[in-house]
Amino acid sequence: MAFKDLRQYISALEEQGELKKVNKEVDWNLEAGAITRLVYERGLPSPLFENIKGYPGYRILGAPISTFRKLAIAMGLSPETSIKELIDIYLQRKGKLIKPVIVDKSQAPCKENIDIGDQVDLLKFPAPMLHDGDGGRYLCSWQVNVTKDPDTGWVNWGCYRGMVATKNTLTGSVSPAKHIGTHFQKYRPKKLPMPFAIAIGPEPVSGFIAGARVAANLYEAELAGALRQEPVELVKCETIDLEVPATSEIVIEGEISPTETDWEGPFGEFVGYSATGRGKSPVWKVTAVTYRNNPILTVSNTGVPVDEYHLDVGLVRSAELYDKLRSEGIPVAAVNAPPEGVGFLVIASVRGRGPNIAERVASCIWGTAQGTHAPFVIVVDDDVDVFDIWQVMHAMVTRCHPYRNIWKVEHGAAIPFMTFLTAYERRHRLGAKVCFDCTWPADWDPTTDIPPKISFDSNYPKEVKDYVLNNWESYGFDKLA
Amino acid sequence: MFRTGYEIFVGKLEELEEGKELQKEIRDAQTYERKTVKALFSSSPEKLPDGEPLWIRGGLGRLLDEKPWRIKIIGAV
Repeated sequence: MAFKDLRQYISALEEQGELKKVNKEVDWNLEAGAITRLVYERGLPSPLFENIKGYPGYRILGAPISTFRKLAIAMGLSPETSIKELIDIYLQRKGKLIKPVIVDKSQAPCKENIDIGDQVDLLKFPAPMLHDGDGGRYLCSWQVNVTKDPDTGWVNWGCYRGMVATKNTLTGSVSPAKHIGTHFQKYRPKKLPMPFAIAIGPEPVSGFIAGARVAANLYEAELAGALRQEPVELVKCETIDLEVPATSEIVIEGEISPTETDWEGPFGEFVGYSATGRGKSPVWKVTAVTYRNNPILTVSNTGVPVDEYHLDVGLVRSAELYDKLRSEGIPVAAVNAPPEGVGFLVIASVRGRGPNIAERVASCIWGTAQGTHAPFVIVVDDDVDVFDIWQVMHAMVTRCHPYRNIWKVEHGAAIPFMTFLTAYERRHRLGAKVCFDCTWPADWDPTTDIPPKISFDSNYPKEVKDYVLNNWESYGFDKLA
Repeated sequence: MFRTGYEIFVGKLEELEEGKELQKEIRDAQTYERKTVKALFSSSPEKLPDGEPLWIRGGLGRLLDEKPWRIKIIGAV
Protein backbone atom coordinates (compact mmCIF):
# COMPACT_ATOMS: atom_id res chain seq x y z
CA MET A 1 0.00 0.00 0.00
CA ALA A 2 1.33 3.42 -0.93
CA PHE A 3 1.34 6.20 1.62
CA LYS A 4 -1.77 8.31 1.27
CA ASP A 5 -0.11 11.40 2.62
CA LEU A 6 3.00 12.82 4.21
CA ARG A 7 1.69 12.02 7.70
CA GLN A 8 1.49 8.28 7.00
CA TYR A 9 5.05 8.44 5.67
CA ILE A 10 6.19 10.27 8.82
CA SER A 11 4.67 7.48 10.94
CA ALA A 12 6.53 4.88 8.88
CA LEU A 13 9.80 6.78 9.29
CA GLU A 14 9.23 6.85 13.03
CA GLU A 15 8.55 3.11 13.13
CA GLN A 16 11.81 2.48 11.30
CA GLY A 17 13.80 4.76 13.62
CA GLU A 18 14.28 7.30 10.82
CA LEU A 19 12.41 10.21 12.46
CA LYS A 20 13.12 12.38 15.48
CA LYS A 21 10.29 14.44 16.96
CA VAL A 22 11.72 17.70 18.32
CA ASN A 23 9.52 19.18 21.04
CA LYS A 24 11.97 21.79 22.28
CA GLU A 25 11.24 25.25 20.90
CA VAL A 26 13.26 25.82 17.73
CA ASP A 27 13.70 29.11 15.90
CA TRP A 28 12.85 29.24 12.18
CA ASN A 29 15.70 31.74 11.96
CA LEU A 30 18.78 29.59 11.21
CA GLU A 31 18.32 27.15 14.12
CA ALA A 32 15.98 24.73 12.25
CA GLY A 33 18.24 25.03 9.21
CA ALA A 34 21.41 24.32 11.17
CA ILE A 35 19.88 21.25 12.82
CA THR A 36 18.65 19.92 9.48
CA ARG A 37 22.01 20.51 7.83
CA LEU A 38 23.78 18.48 10.51
CA VAL A 39 21.20 15.72 10.04
CA TYR A 40 22.27 15.43 6.38
CA GLU A 41 25.95 15.52 7.13
CA ARG A 42 25.70 12.81 9.80
CA GLY A 43 23.02 10.66 8.11
CA LEU A 44 20.61 11.08 11.03
CA PRO A 45 16.83 10.61 11.34
CA SER A 46 14.67 13.37 9.84
CA PRO A 47 13.68 16.03 12.39
CA LEU A 48 10.00 16.85 12.83
CA PHE A 49 9.96 20.26 14.53
CA GLU A 50 6.75 20.47 16.54
CA ASN A 51 7.41 23.66 18.48
CA ILE A 52 8.50 26.49 16.25
CA LYS A 53 9.11 29.88 17.78
CA GLY A 54 6.22 32.22 16.99
CA TYR A 55 4.28 29.56 15.06
CA PRO A 56 2.11 27.51 17.40
CA GLY A 57 0.27 24.72 15.58
CA TYR A 58 2.67 24.67 12.64
CA ARG A 59 5.35 22.05 12.06
CA ILE A 60 8.42 21.56 9.89
CA LEU A 61 9.72 18.25 8.55
CA GLY A 62 13.41 18.64 7.76
CA ALA A 63 15.37 16.34 5.45
CA PRO A 64 12.24 14.46 4.29
CA ILE A 65 14.09 11.97 2.03
CA SER A 66 17.77 12.36 2.81
CA THR A 67 19.04 8.78 2.52
CA PHE A 68 18.44 5.80 0.27
CA ARG A 69 16.90 4.09 3.32
CA LYS A 70 14.21 6.80 3.57
CA LEU A 71 13.73 6.72 -0.20
CA ALA A 72 13.14 2.96 -0.08
CA ILE A 73 10.59 3.46 2.72
CA ALA A 74 8.87 6.17 0.64
CA MET A 75 8.58 3.70 -2.24
CA GLY A 76 7.04 1.07 0.03
CA LEU A 77 10.20 -1.06 0.08
CA SER A 78 12.45 -2.44 2.76
CA PRO A 79 14.85 0.19 4.10
CA GLU A 80 17.63 -2.29 3.33
CA THR A 81 16.95 -2.10 -0.43
CA SER A 82 20.25 -1.31 -2.16
CA ILE A 83 20.68 1.48 -4.70
CA LYS A 84 21.27 -1.19 -7.38
CA GLU A 85 17.90 -2.74 -6.53
CA LEU A 86 16.22 0.67 -6.39
CA ILE A 87 17.40 1.39 -9.94
CA ASP A 88 16.02 -1.90 -11.21
CA ILE A 89 12.71 -1.32 -9.42
CA TYR A 90 12.51 2.26 -10.74
CA LEU A 91 12.92 1.09 -14.35
CA GLN A 92 10.55 -1.81 -13.87
CA ARG A 93 7.80 0.36 -12.34
CA LYS A 94 8.38 3.21 -14.77
CA GLY A 95 7.42 0.84 -17.57
CA LYS A 96 3.82 1.01 -16.39
CA LEU A 97 2.78 4.63 -15.84
CA ILE A 98 -0.37 5.17 -13.77
CA LYS A 99 -2.59 8.15 -14.50
CA PRO A 100 -3.64 10.30 -11.53
CA VAL A 101 -7.26 10.54 -10.44
CA ILE A 102 -9.15 13.73 -9.66
CA VAL A 103 -10.98 13.79 -6.34
CA ASP A 104 -13.67 16.13 -5.15
CA LYS A 105 -12.69 19.11 -3.05
CA SER A 106 -14.58 17.60 -0.11
CA GLN A 107 -12.18 14.63 -0.20
CA ALA A 108 -9.04 16.76 -0.32
CA PRO A 109 -7.31 17.43 3.01
CA CYS A 110 -5.41 20.37 1.48
CA LYS A 111 -8.75 22.25 1.38
CA GLU A 112 -9.29 22.20 5.14
CA ASN A 113 -8.35 25.89 5.18
CA ILE A 114 -8.69 28.28 2.24
CA ASP A 115 -7.26 31.80 2.10
CA ILE A 116 -8.06 33.77 -1.04
CA GLY A 117 -7.07 37.25 -2.19
CA ASP A 118 -6.49 39.64 0.71
CA GLN A 119 -6.56 36.76 3.17
CA VAL A 120 -3.26 35.45 1.78
CA ASP A 121 -0.32 35.83 4.14
CA LEU A 122 2.70 33.70 3.31
CA LEU A 123 4.35 34.61 6.60
CA LYS A 124 1.56 32.75 8.35
CA PHE A 125 3.80 29.74 7.67
CA PRO A 126 7.19 29.20 9.36
CA ALA A 127 9.30 29.74 6.25
CA PRO A 128 12.81 29.17 7.56
CA MET A 129 15.94 31.22 7.12
CA LEU A 130 17.91 28.16 6.08
CA HIS A 131 21.51 29.32 5.56
CA ASP A 132 23.31 32.32 6.99
CA GLY A 133 23.51 34.78 4.11
CA ASP A 134 20.47 33.56 2.17
CA GLY A 135 18.54 36.28 0.41
CA GLY A 136 15.47 35.64 2.52
CA ARG A 137 13.13 33.08 4.01
CA TYR A 138 12.55 30.15 1.68
CA LEU A 139 9.05 28.73 1.90
CA CYS A 140 9.70 26.45 -1.07
CA SER A 141 12.65 24.08 -0.86
CA TRP A 142 11.02 20.65 -1.33
CA GLN A 143 7.66 20.59 -3.05
CA VAL A 144 5.84 20.06 -6.33
CA ASN A 145 5.75 23.09 -8.65
CA VAL A 146 3.00 22.68 -11.24
CA THR A 147 2.81 24.56 -14.54
CA LYS A 148 1.21 23.85 -17.90
CA ASP A 149 2.33 24.32 -21.49
CA PRO A 150 -0.35 26.61 -22.97
CA ASP A 151 0.06 25.10 -26.45
CA THR A 152 0.28 21.37 -25.83
CA GLY A 153 -1.35 21.02 -22.43
CA TRP A 154 1.73 19.21 -21.06
CA VAL A 155 1.72 19.61 -17.29
CA ASN A 156 5.12 19.66 -15.64
CA TRP A 157 6.04 18.93 -12.06
CA GLY A 158 9.29 20.42 -10.85
CA CYS A 159 10.96 21.52 -7.65
CA TYR A 160 12.20 25.10 -7.78
CA ARG A 161 13.28 27.22 -4.86
CA GLY A 162 10.92 29.99 -3.79
CA MET A 163 11.70 32.91 -1.47
CA VAL A 164 9.10 34.94 0.39
CA ALA A 165 9.28 38.50 -0.92
CA THR A 166 6.14 40.01 0.62
CA LYS A 167 3.05 38.67 2.33
CA ASN A 168 1.57 37.69 -1.04
CA THR A 169 4.53 37.36 -3.40
CA LEU A 170 7.39 34.94 -3.86
CA THR A 171 10.45 35.28 -6.05
CA GLY A 172 12.21 32.44 -7.74
CA SER A 173 14.31 31.75 -10.76
CA VAL A 174 12.48 30.53 -13.86
CA SER A 175 15.49 29.31 -15.83
CA PRO A 176 14.94 28.60 -19.54
CA ALA A 177 17.04 25.45 -19.01
CA LYS A 178 14.31 24.01 -16.77
CA HIS A 179 10.96 22.70 -17.88
CA ILE A 180 9.17 25.50 -16.02
CA GLY A 181 11.26 27.93 -18.07
CA THR A 182 10.18 26.19 -21.28
CA HIS A 183 6.59 26.92 -20.27
CA PHE A 184 7.32 30.49 -19.17
CA GLN A 185 8.92 31.26 -22.55
CA LYS A 186 5.49 30.79 -24.06
CA TYR A 187 3.89 33.34 -21.75
CA ARG A 188 6.51 36.03 -21.20
CA PRO A 189 6.95 37.24 -24.82
CA LYS A 190 3.18 37.75 -24.99
CA LYS A 191 3.26 39.55 -21.63
CA LEU A 192 0.88 36.96 -20.20
CA PRO A 193 1.11 35.85 -16.57
CA MET A 194 1.76 32.12 -16.15
CA PRO A 195 -0.46 30.22 -13.69
CA PHE A 196 1.45 28.15 -11.13
CA ALA A 197 0.68 25.94 -8.17
CA ILE A 198 3.08 24.86 -5.46
CA ALA A 199 2.15 21.77 -3.44
CA ILE A 200 4.22 21.60 -0.27
CA GLY A 201 4.27 18.33 1.66
CA PRO A 202 2.56 15.95 -0.73
CA GLU A 203 2.82 12.19 -0.24
CA PRO A 204 6.55 11.41 -0.43
CA VAL A 205 6.92 9.88 -3.91
CA SER A 206 5.33 12.92 -5.54
CA GLY A 207 7.71 15.16 -3.63
CA PHE A 208 10.66 13.04 -4.64
CA ILE A 209 9.83 12.69 -8.30
CA ALA A 210 9.07 16.40 -8.78
CA GLY A 211 12.74 17.14 -8.21
CA ALA A 212 13.99 14.56 -10.67
CA ARG A 213 14.96 15.43 -14.21
CA VAL A 214 12.90 13.25 -16.49
CA ALA A 215 11.97 13.60 -20.15
CA ALA A 216 10.03 16.65 -21.28
CA ASN A 217 6.37 15.92 -21.98
CA LEU A 218 6.30 13.18 -19.35
CA TYR A 219 3.72 14.00 -16.69
CA GLU A 220 5.48 13.32 -13.41
CA ALA A 221 2.14 12.59 -11.72
CA GLU A 222 1.94 9.45 -13.86
CA LEU A 223 5.51 8.51 -12.98
CA ALA A 224 4.78 9.07 -9.28
CA GLY A 225 1.75 6.81 -9.66
CA ALA A 226 3.94 4.14 -11.25
CA LEU A 227 6.57 4.33 -8.52
CA ARG A 228 4.04 4.19 -5.69
CA GLN A 229 1.94 1.67 -7.65
CA GLU A 230 -1.24 3.58 -7.00
CA PRO A 231 -2.66 6.63 -8.72
CA VAL A 232 -1.86 9.99 -7.20
CA GLU A 233 -5.02 11.78 -6.06
CA LEU A 234 -5.26 15.30 -7.43
CA VAL A 235 -7.68 18.13 -6.73
CA LYS A 236 -8.43 21.27 -8.69
CA CYS A 237 -6.99 24.56 -7.52
CA GLU A 238 -9.22 27.39 -6.31
CA THR A 239 -8.13 30.26 -8.53
CA ILE A 240 -6.24 28.75 -11.47
CA ASP A 241 -6.70 25.88 -13.93
CA LEU A 242 -4.22 23.39 -12.45
CA GLU A 243 -4.42 20.32 -10.21
CA VAL A 244 -2.31 19.47 -7.18
CA PRO A 245 -1.86 16.41 -4.96
CA ALA A 246 -4.97 16.39 -2.78
CA THR A 247 -3.23 15.42 0.45
CA SER A 248 -0.62 18.20 0.26
CA GLU A 249 0.02 20.04 3.49
CA ILE A 250 0.08 23.52 1.91
CA VAL A 251 -0.88 24.62 -1.60
CA ILE A 252 0.08 28.01 -3.02
CA GLU A 253 -1.67 29.19 -6.17
CA GLY A 254 -1.01 32.20 -8.35
CA GLU A 255 0.57 33.65 -11.46
CA ILE A 256 4.16 34.42 -12.40
CA SER A 257 4.39 37.97 -13.68
CA PRO A 258 5.80 38.33 -17.20
CA THR A 259 7.16 41.78 -16.43
CA GLU A 260 7.74 42.34 -12.72
CA THR A 261 10.90 41.21 -10.95
CA ASP A 262 12.22 41.37 -7.42
CA TRP A 263 15.40 40.39 -5.60
CA GLU A 264 16.00 36.69 -5.05
CA GLY A 265 18.93 34.80 -3.62
CA PRO A 266 21.62 34.13 -2.74
CA PHE A 267 20.80 30.64 -1.54
CA GLY A 268 22.91 27.72 -0.35
CA GLU A 269 22.56 25.24 -3.19
CA PHE A 270 22.98 21.57 -4.06
CA VAL A 271 26.57 22.04 -5.22
CA GLY A 272 27.51 22.71 -1.62
CA TYR A 273 28.04 26.43 -2.12
CA SER A 274 26.07 29.63 -2.28
CA ALA A 275 27.02 29.85 -5.91
CA THR A 276 24.79 32.07 -7.94
CA GLY A 277 24.39 35.27 -5.99
CA ARG A 278 21.64 37.78 -5.68
CA GLY A 279 19.64 38.74 -8.72
CA LYS A 280 16.30 39.88 -10.02
CA SER A 281 13.81 37.07 -10.64
CA PRO A 282 10.18 37.04 -11.75
CA VAL A 283 7.57 37.85 -9.13
CA TRP A 284 5.20 35.00 -8.27
CA LYS A 285 1.90 36.66 -7.28
CA VAL A 286 -0.11 34.49 -4.91
CA THR A 287 -3.87 34.43 -5.38
CA ALA A 288 -4.76 31.68 -2.88
CA VAL A 289 -3.28 29.44 -0.22
CA THR A 290 -5.00 26.28 0.98
CA TYR A 291 -3.68 24.10 3.79
CA ARG A 292 -4.35 21.28 6.18
CA ASN A 293 -5.01 21.82 9.86
CA ASN A 294 -1.71 21.97 11.75
CA PRO A 295 0.21 21.94 8.47
CA ILE A 296 3.68 20.48 8.08
CA LEU A 297 6.14 22.47 5.99
CA THR A 298 8.67 20.21 4.24
CA VAL A 299 12.18 21.63 4.14
CA SER A 300 15.21 20.51 2.18
CA ASN A 301 18.29 22.35 3.36
CA THR A 302 20.55 21.97 0.34
CA GLY A 303 24.32 22.10 0.75
CA VAL A 304 27.19 19.62 0.64
CA PRO A 305 25.97 16.09 -0.19
CA VAL A 306 23.85 14.18 0.60
CA ASP A 307 20.43 15.81 0.54
CA GLU A 308 17.21 15.34 -1.45
CA TYR A 309 18.61 16.73 -4.70
CA HIS A 310 21.53 14.32 -4.62
CA LEU A 311 19.24 11.38 -3.86
CA ASP A 312 17.11 12.30 -6.88
CA VAL A 313 20.21 12.30 -9.04
CA GLY A 314 21.49 9.10 -7.46
CA LEU A 315 18.40 7.14 -8.36
CA VAL A 316 16.66 8.75 -11.31
CA ARG A 317 19.69 9.93 -13.29
CA SER A 318 21.48 6.63 -12.78
CA ALA A 319 18.43 4.67 -13.91
CA GLU A 320 17.58 6.89 -16.87
CA LEU A 321 21.16 6.91 -18.17
CA TYR A 322 21.50 3.15 -17.75
CA ASP A 323 18.32 2.72 -19.76
CA LYS A 324 19.52 5.12 -22.45
CA LEU A 325 22.95 3.50 -22.86
CA ARG A 326 21.34 0.09 -23.01
CA SER A 327 18.87 1.23 -25.67
CA GLU A 328 21.76 2.60 -27.75
CA GLY A 329 23.34 -0.85 -27.88
CA ILE A 330 26.25 0.03 -25.64
CA PRO A 331 27.32 -3.01 -23.55
CA VAL A 332 26.68 -1.17 -20.29
CA ALA A 333 26.74 -3.16 -17.07
CA ALA A 334 25.78 -0.47 -14.55
CA VAL A 335 25.53 3.30 -14.15
CA ASN A 336 25.92 5.37 -11.03
CA ALA A 337 25.47 9.12 -10.76
CA PRO A 338 26.68 9.11 -7.16
CA PRO A 339 25.02 11.57 -4.77
CA GLU A 340 28.48 12.83 -3.80
CA GLY A 341 28.97 13.94 -7.40
CA VAL A 342 26.17 16.54 -7.05
CA GLY A 343 24.88 15.61 -10.50
CA PHE A 344 28.12 16.53 -12.24
CA LEU A 345 29.60 13.01 -12.25
CA VAL A 346 28.46 9.79 -13.92
CA ILE A 347 30.27 6.47 -13.57
CA ALA A 348 29.48 3.69 -16.03
CA SER A 349 30.81 0.16 -16.28
CA VAL A 350 30.94 -1.76 -19.55
CA ARG A 351 31.08 -5.43 -20.45
CA GLY A 352 33.76 -6.68 -22.80
CA ARG A 353 36.34 -4.53 -24.49
CA GLY A 354 35.98 -2.59 -27.66
CA PRO A 355 37.68 0.32 -29.38
CA ASN A 356 36.62 3.76 -28.14
CA ILE A 357 34.07 2.30 -25.78
CA ALA A 358 34.62 5.03 -23.18
CA GLU A 359 34.18 7.78 -25.78
CA ARG A 360 30.95 6.13 -26.97
CA VAL A 361 29.64 5.98 -23.42
CA ALA A 362 30.55 9.61 -22.66
CA SER A 363 29.18 10.93 -25.94
CA CYS A 364 25.90 9.17 -25.37
CA ILE A 365 25.62 10.47 -21.79
CA TRP A 366 26.37 14.04 -22.84
CA GLY A 367 23.71 13.80 -25.54
CA THR A 368 20.90 13.19 -23.07
CA ALA A 369 18.87 15.60 -20.96
CA GLN A 370 20.02 13.74 -17.84
CA GLY A 371 23.70 13.80 -18.75
CA THR A 372 24.19 17.06 -20.57
CA HIS A 373 25.17 18.82 -17.34
CA ALA A 374 27.37 15.99 -16.08
CA PRO A 375 30.80 17.13 -17.27
CA PHE A 376 32.69 14.33 -15.52
CA VAL A 377 32.29 10.81 -16.88
CA ILE A 378 34.24 7.83 -15.62
CA VAL A 379 34.11 4.55 -17.53
CA VAL A 380 35.29 1.34 -15.90
CA ASP A 381 35.29 -2.38 -16.70
CA ASP A 382 32.45 -4.44 -15.26
CA ASP A 383 34.64 -6.08 -12.62
CA VAL A 384 34.50 -2.69 -10.88
CA ASP A 385 31.40 -1.97 -8.78
CA VAL A 386 30.33 1.52 -9.84
CA PHE A 387 28.46 1.94 -6.55
CA ASP A 388 31.68 1.48 -4.60
CA ILE A 389 33.60 4.74 -4.92
CA TRP A 390 36.76 3.13 -3.50
CA GLN A 391 36.76 0.52 -6.28
CA VAL A 392 36.24 3.26 -8.86
CA MET A 393 39.12 5.26 -7.42
CA HIS A 394 41.33 2.15 -7.51
CA ALA A 395 40.45 1.56 -11.17
CA MET A 396 41.19 5.17 -11.99
CA VAL A 397 44.70 5.17 -10.58
CA THR A 398 45.59 1.71 -11.95
CA ARG A 399 43.94 1.66 -15.40
CA CYS A 400 43.60 5.26 -16.55
CA HIS A 401 46.77 6.52 -18.23
CA PRO A 402 47.17 10.07 -16.95
CA TYR A 403 47.88 11.39 -20.42
CA ARG A 404 46.37 9.00 -22.99
CA ASN A 405 43.15 8.00 -21.28
CA ILE A 406 41.77 11.36 -20.20
CA TRP A 407 39.61 12.76 -22.97
CA LYS A 408 39.10 16.47 -22.55
CA VAL A 409 36.46 18.36 -24.51
CA GLU A 410 36.92 22.11 -24.56
CA HIS A 411 33.28 23.06 -25.00
CA GLY A 412 30.25 21.74 -23.16
CA ALA A 413 26.95 22.67 -21.67
CA ALA A 414 27.11 24.52 -18.37
CA ILE A 415 24.91 25.81 -15.59
CA PRO A 416 25.65 28.73 -13.29
CA PHE A 417 26.18 26.33 -10.37
CA MET A 418 29.40 24.93 -11.88
CA THR A 419 31.78 26.53 -9.41
CA PHE A 420 34.90 25.36 -11.26
CA LEU A 421 34.09 27.76 -14.10
CA THR A 422 35.05 31.42 -14.12
CA ALA A 423 32.37 34.01 -13.44
CA TYR A 424 32.33 34.85 -17.17
CA GLU A 425 31.97 31.19 -18.18
CA ARG A 426 29.14 30.66 -15.71
CA ARG A 427 27.31 33.74 -16.91
CA HIS A 428 27.56 32.67 -20.55
CA ARG A 429 27.11 28.91 -19.90
CA LEU A 430 30.54 28.05 -21.32
CA GLY A 431 31.42 24.64 -19.95
CA ALA A 432 33.87 21.85 -20.69
CA LYS A 433 33.79 18.06 -20.33
CA VAL A 434 36.13 15.25 -19.46
CA CYS A 435 35.99 11.48 -19.70
CA PHE A 436 38.30 9.25 -17.67
CA ASP A 437 38.73 5.98 -19.52
CA CYS A 438 39.50 3.50 -16.76
CA THR A 439 39.02 0.40 -18.89
CA TRP A 440 41.86 -1.82 -19.97
CA PRO A 441 42.87 -0.87 -23.54
CA ALA A 442 41.15 -3.03 -26.16
CA ASP A 443 44.41 -3.96 -27.85
CA TRP A 444 46.12 -5.25 -24.72
CA ASP A 445 46.63 -9.01 -24.57
CA PRO A 446 44.48 -10.23 -21.69
CA THR A 447 46.97 -12.97 -20.81
CA THR A 448 50.18 -10.99 -20.86
CA ASP A 449 49.37 -7.27 -20.72
CA ILE A 450 46.50 -7.13 -18.23
CA PRO A 451 47.64 -8.04 -14.74
CA PRO A 452 45.48 -10.36 -12.65
CA LYS A 453 43.47 -8.43 -10.06
CA ILE A 454 44.12 -9.27 -6.44
CA SER A 455 41.00 -9.02 -4.33
CA PHE A 456 38.95 -11.47 -2.31
CA ASP A 457 36.32 -11.74 -5.04
CA SER A 458 38.58 -11.97 -8.07
CA ASN A 459 41.58 -13.91 -6.83
CA TYR A 460 40.52 -16.85 -4.67
CA PRO A 461 38.92 -20.09 -5.89
CA LYS A 462 35.19 -20.31 -5.28
CA GLU A 463 35.66 -23.24 -2.92
CA VAL A 464 38.04 -21.24 -0.76
CA LYS A 465 35.78 -18.17 -0.71
CA ASP A 466 32.71 -20.22 0.19
CA TYR A 467 34.59 -22.03 2.95
CA VAL A 468 35.93 -18.79 4.43
CA LEU A 469 32.56 -17.04 4.27
CA ASN A 470 30.73 -20.01 5.79
CA ASN A 471 33.22 -20.11 8.66
CA TRP A 472 33.63 -16.39 9.10
CA GLU A 473 32.16 -16.10 12.57
CA SER A 474 34.14 -19.12 13.77
CA TYR A 475 37.29 -17.04 13.26
CA GLY A 476 35.94 -14.69 15.93
CA PHE A 477 34.65 -11.97 13.59
CA ASP A 478 31.16 -10.46 13.65
CA LYS A 479 28.76 -11.64 10.95
CA LEU A 480 29.48 -9.88 7.65
CA ALA A 481 26.88 -7.38 6.45
CA MET B 1 22.12 33.67 19.70
CA PHE B 2 21.36 35.57 16.53
CA ARG B 3 22.43 38.87 15.05
CA THR B 4 20.52 42.04 15.81
CA GLY B 5 20.15 45.27 13.86
CA TYR B 6 20.09 45.33 10.09
CA GLU B 7 21.70 43.67 7.08
CA ILE B 8 22.52 45.04 3.65
CA PHE B 9 23.68 43.44 0.39
CA VAL B 10 26.30 45.37 -1.58
CA GLY B 11 28.48 44.70 -4.60
CA LYS B 12 31.51 46.27 -2.92
CA LEU B 13 32.13 47.83 0.47
CA GLU B 14 32.99 51.11 -1.25
CA GLU B 15 29.31 51.53 -2.10
CA LEU B 16 28.73 52.58 1.50
CA GLU B 17 30.31 55.97 1.61
CA GLU B 18 30.77 56.85 5.26
CA GLY B 19 29.19 59.97 6.70
CA LYS B 20 27.07 60.60 3.63
CA GLU B 21 23.29 60.29 3.45
CA LEU B 22 22.50 57.38 1.13
CA GLN B 23 19.32 55.69 -0.02
CA LYS B 24 19.58 51.92 0.38
CA GLU B 25 17.48 48.79 0.78
CA ILE B 26 18.17 47.08 4.09
CA ARG B 27 16.56 44.23 5.98
CA ASP B 28 15.86 43.57 9.63
CA ALA B 29 18.47 41.06 10.84
CA GLN B 30 15.87 39.11 12.82
CA THR B 31 12.68 39.23 10.75
CA TYR B 32 14.31 39.75 7.32
CA GLU B 33 11.64 42.32 6.50
CA ARG B 34 12.98 44.59 3.78
CA LYS B 35 12.68 48.36 3.55
CA THR B 36 14.26 51.20 1.63
CA VAL B 37 15.64 53.97 3.80
CA LYS B 38 17.72 57.11 3.78
CA ALA B 39 20.53 56.60 6.27
CA LEU B 40 24.05 57.40 7.41
CA PHE B 41 26.65 54.63 7.51
CA SER B 42 29.88 54.20 9.43
CA SER B 43 32.44 51.45 9.92
CA SER B 44 33.17 52.73 13.40
CA PRO B 45 30.69 52.78 16.31
CA GLU B 46 32.40 55.90 17.69
CA LYS B 47 31.59 57.91 14.59
CA LEU B 48 27.90 57.02 14.76
CA PRO B 49 27.22 56.49 18.47
CA ASP B 50 23.44 56.57 18.11
CA GLY B 51 23.49 54.15 15.18
CA GLU B 52 22.36 50.52 15.12
CA PRO B 53 24.40 47.47 14.03
CA LEU B 54 24.58 46.89 10.28
CA TRP B 55 25.91 43.65 8.85
CA ILE B 56 27.26 43.93 5.33
CA ARG B 57 27.00 41.08 2.87
CA GLY B 58 28.35 40.62 -0.63
CA GLY B 59 26.27 39.31 -3.51
CA LEU B 60 26.99 35.68 -2.57
CA GLY B 61 25.81 36.24 0.99
CA ARG B 62 29.24 36.30 2.61
CA LEU B 63 29.86 38.86 5.37
CA LEU B 64 32.31 41.41 3.98
CA ASP B 65 33.29 42.58 7.44
CA GLU B 66 33.20 40.28 10.45
CA LYS B 67 32.31 43.25 12.66
CA PRO B 68 29.06 45.14 12.18
CA TRP B 69 29.07 48.67 10.85
CA ARG B 70 26.63 51.27 12.14
CA ILE B 71 23.56 52.66 10.43
CA LYS B 72 21.51 55.66 11.47
CA ILE B 73 18.17 55.64 9.72
CA ILE B 74 16.98 59.08 8.85
CA GLY B 75 13.70 58.04 7.32
CA ALA B 76 11.80 55.50 5.27
CA VAL B 77 11.47 56.00 1.52
